[in-house]
Amino acid sequence: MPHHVLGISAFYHDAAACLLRDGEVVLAVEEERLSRIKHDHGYPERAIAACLGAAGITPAEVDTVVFYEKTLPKLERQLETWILAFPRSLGAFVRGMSRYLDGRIDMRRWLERRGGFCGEILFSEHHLSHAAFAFYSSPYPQAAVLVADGVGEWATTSLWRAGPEGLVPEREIRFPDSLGLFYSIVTAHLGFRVNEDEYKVMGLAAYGEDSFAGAMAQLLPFCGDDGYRLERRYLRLGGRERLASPALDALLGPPRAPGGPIEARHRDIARSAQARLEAALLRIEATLPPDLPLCIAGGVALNGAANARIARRRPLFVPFAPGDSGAAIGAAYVGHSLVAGPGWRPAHITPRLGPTHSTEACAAAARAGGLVARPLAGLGGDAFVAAALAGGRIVGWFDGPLEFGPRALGGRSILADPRDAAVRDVINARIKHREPFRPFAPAMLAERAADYFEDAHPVPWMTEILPVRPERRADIAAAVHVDGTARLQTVGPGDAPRLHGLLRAFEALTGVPALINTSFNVAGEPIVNSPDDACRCYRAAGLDALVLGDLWIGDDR
Amino acid sequence: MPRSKRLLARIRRASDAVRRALVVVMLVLVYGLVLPWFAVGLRLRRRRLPGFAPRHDPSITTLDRLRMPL
Repeated sequence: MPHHVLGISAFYHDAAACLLRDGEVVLAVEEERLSRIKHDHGYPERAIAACLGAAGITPAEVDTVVFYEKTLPKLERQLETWILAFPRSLGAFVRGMSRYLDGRIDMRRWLERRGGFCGEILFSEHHLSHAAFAFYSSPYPQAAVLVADGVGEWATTSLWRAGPEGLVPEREIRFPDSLGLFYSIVTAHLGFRVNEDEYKVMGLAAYGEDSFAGAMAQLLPFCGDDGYRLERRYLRLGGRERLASPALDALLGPPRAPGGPIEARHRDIARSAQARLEAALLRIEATLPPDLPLCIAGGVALNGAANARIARRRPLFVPFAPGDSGAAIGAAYVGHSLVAGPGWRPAHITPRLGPTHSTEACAAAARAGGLVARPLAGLGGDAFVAAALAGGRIVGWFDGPLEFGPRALGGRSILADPRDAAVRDVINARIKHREPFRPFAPAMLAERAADYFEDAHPVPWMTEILPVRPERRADIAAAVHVDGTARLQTVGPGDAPRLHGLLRAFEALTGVPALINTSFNVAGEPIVNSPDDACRCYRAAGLDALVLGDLWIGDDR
Repeated sequence: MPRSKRLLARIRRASDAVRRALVVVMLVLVYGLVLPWFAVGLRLRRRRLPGFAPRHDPSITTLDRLRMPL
């Protein structure tokens, strides 16, 4: 009898579900892709239904459900935060406790009733879920695992020993001392959205000077060989207002209003915050045994610039979804490892874990959208697409299973020619409606990456930001950030076969083995999931053409 | 029927809006009457040392521990 384990992350941000059958993923999907609510933080009802539907089972047939965190220690931490913020935390206390009093205070019973589950219901720790996803999807038989995020139950930074015996925690830092919270405070001060726009701070950092290093040292002082703390006088937790106290304004200057002009001071703040974060992580890395591989997870592991610096010092693995959605997969792995025993590792690791759609479904979506779709085979196949891209067209690319995680990796992408720097401005202004300083990432043939990038190594999931060789920057100008770096996706034949073929065709035409690869969505919306989503986004974004599975939508130019 | 049971029965029959309002009132009362004492206690508590604290917990992935929401 197959053994089914369902991992669930929910109720903070990036709710998701992952179903394993005998240790291999049947389906994993983030709720936002199905609900169309960005960073959906509810109960992942649709995602769970999709997982069970893919396996052909009912909730009652799930052997084990693993929730990604311990609910009662998390409540303890929230209560302590509200209490310490008395009396300004009244609103947050009433809102927060109301959610628990809807039954979630007894999560086991809540899941049994809401989900219809009859099997074992388990509760992983938040950082354990992250650590499990990172280690079990890594290629290392033994490793250290670093988890760094805003906060789980109490831990904000934790170090683990991982090997055939499983995962064992070794040390941790607790809330409110938190690297994720530090970066979020700066994000908010720069007028961006917390838990959504931290990557904008990373992008902005490349434009600044490290002139706020002293201020960052006051905000996040280091202690001991590897520790840090958040200076309490700059914090204002527990309420609904901003995370930081007015003292932060004296330290960094007044906060930037959302949507307001970005000044040199803001760029410098971003740069100094990025430098401080990297320094904090490198201090931790320096205490590890030499040459021991390191896996890293948690929301802080989304910082590709910091990851690249660590990767220069030791073998590093970053999973394709290091944030809370990936914790659903990690929770499922924790559940399965109980059954599988010591030494278990999943056989297949790929981010392409979501729903697929048939050619018939694609054709039906095009018809419903009033779009004319023609078989690509009759136009010349993907060589035709490569020619369209080389001719300057911006193309939506919908192929195969949906990716899991924040990056489009050739399943749900917008592709463009990287040779002209103006393409970046066109996509930002016309299609994505993003801030002009936001860079785009290149997907490149893995076998050619060393020609273009310093420190080149396989990065199939865009987890690191690497320096582009100066003599090659003009070749992929639209993908090179102001500091000469790019968030590289190496594409090998096994990573994304069709995208690999398209890159080869593009190289044959242009001599450049890379394309701009950005996510198939417009601002404020999640990445598209279904053919219907793709057709809607094609219209809304004003794309020049759309590859919808084996179909082409657009003119024949 | 005792008064408290009659009251609970009335609450169960009440609309969602009324029940939500009662929850809010109850929480505000708890906030105002109970939390201040904990606030004083927490502020008097000795602060944890900053930085990493050791944590050796080899049973964290055992079935018994995973069954517990604690």
